Amino acid sequence: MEYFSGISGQLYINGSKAARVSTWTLSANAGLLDTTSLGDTDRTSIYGTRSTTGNCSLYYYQPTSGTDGDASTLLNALIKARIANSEPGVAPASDSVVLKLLVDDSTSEGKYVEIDANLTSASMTMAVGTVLQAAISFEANGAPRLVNI
Amino acid sequence: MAFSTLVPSSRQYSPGNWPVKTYNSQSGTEVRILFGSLQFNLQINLTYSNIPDAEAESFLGHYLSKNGTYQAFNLTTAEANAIFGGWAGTPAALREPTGVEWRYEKPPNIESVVPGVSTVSVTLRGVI
Repeated sequence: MEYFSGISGQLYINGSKAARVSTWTLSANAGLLDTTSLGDTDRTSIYGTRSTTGNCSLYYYQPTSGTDGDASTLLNALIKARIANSEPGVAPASDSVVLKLLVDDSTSEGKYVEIDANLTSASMTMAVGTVLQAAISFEANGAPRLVNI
Repeated sequence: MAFSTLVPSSRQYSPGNWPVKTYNSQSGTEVRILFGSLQFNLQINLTYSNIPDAEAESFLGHYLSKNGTYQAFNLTTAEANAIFGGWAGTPAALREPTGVEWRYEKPPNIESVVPGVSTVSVTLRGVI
C-alpha cells in the first residue's frame, strides 16, 4: 500500500520536466444532458461534453542568473507584447503548451495525464517575505493525449 | 409510419375553441353565435430533450409520411399515452374530442446537441 504526496509530483512542460513546481491541480468535468421525461419522479441524464481544467504554481526560478525558467515558459506562452507601438490592440496569439501532470509511483513511466493546454490565466504576486511564484490556470484543448492515472 | 411513443420532456396543451362569431352592437351589447358543435384548433407543443438521433429521425419520417402539414392523422392509444404521459388528471381531459384529428402545425425542429443526441420540438394542431 502506498500513498503519495508532493514529493512524488512532477510537471512536464512541452516534454521537459519543470524544475520548481509548487502545486498542480487537475480537474475533469462532464456536462450532463437532462433526459427527464414527463411522469418521471427522478432526474435522468446522459453524458454531454467533457472538459479538463487545472492550475499550477511554479516558483519564478532561474537555473542560472538571467536565464528563463519554467515559469517564464508558461508566462511567455500566454502574455504577448504588441507587434507595433502604433497598434496597441494587435499582438500575437497565445501559445498552447503540452502539459504532463505526473505522479511518480516508482514505476518507469509513473501515473500521468498529458494534455494540450490552452492557458487561461497567469498571475504573479511580488510581496515582502514570500518567494515569487507564477500561478497558471489552463484548460485542455480536447481530450487528453495520454491518460494513465 | 407511426408517431413516436417517446414520452416528451415537456408539453404545452391548448384546448382550442368552438367556432364562435362575436358581434358587438353600437350600444356595446355582445352577441355570440355558435356555428358548430366541435372544438377545434387544439394545440400541443412537445419537446423531446436529448434523445438519440435515431429517435429524432423518426419524427422527420412521420412528418414526411404526412406530406408535412397536409395530412391529418389520429393517434393510437400507445401514441396518445406517450404524448400525454405524466398527466395525472382524467386522461380524456387532454385527448382530442371525437371528430378531431391532428396535423403538423409546422415542421419539427431538430436541434443537434452533441454527436448522436438531439432535441426535437413538435407542434401539432387539432383540426376537424
